[in-house]
Amino acid sequence: MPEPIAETVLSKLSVHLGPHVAKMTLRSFAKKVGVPDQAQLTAAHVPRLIEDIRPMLNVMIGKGPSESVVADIERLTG
Amino acid sequence: MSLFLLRIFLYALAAVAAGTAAAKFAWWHEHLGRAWALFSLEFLLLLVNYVLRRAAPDAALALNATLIAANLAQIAAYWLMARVLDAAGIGYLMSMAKRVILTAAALAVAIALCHASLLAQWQALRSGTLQSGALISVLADVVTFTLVAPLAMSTLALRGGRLSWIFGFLAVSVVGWMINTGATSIAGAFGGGADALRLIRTAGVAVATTFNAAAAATQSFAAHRAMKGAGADA
Repeated sequence: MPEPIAETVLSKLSVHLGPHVAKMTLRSFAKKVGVPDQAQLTAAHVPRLIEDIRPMLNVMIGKGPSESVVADIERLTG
Repeated sequence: MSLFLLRIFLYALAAVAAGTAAAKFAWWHEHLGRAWALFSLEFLLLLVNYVLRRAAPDAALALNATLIAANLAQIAAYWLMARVLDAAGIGYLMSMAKRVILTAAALAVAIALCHASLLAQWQALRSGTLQSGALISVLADVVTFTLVAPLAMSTLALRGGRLSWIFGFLAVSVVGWMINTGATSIAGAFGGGADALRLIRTAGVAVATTFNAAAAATQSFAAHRAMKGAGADA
């Protein structure tokens, strides 16, 4: 059974941001794409979610690493 | 190894480590790149200033210019790192009340640590003997020491993640600058003379430079691992 989208994104973000900020960030970005509960995120939400996450990661970890993390998320949720 | 050579080695180490991190982030093109480029510039200028003090103690203009530029670079670098979460648009994750209280507390500590130098600058201003290099140096200390609050808060917020180490190391590097600034009081408290003062100052510089270099190395390593995809299964 595939890992839920939220779990996958969380695991990728936590490596850099730690579990606390990763969780809060995902909750906030999920709301932005119109999903009040992050557990309800589906593959269809991923492109919009990534669009919002990418600029944040660009600043937090740099553009190159950010692209790797985003590519990982896309690969695992696609 | 003499303290002189040790200090040169420490400044060079920090400049190279920060420069390497800046190069990973396209130098001036990215937020992190700008911060690390400024740290690298700061340590390079401190190195030049330190050598000039020995080699050409009468070169007042060069001494002043390198000291002022190093301090301005230091303020800007710590400022950029302290507001990474804000720049990324997630500064709201840290409570505003906590930020204000901790920053005010850090400012109070900074003023307490720098009060003798601040008073000396005030006296110099009144007597018309103010030196811009010395004034900016004191103000840079106050600003840098105050920024330990957002750095420590970022360390705590990001705990468990790779970035936490970077902010933690930077916060400790600020403590190193505090030791350097408070060296006279520390030496006085232990009844130490000129040698003890020099040793404490060098110890402060050692803490500041090695922890800054550790932060830079951690930043470079984290970027390298992420780009290699080593974090894929972390």
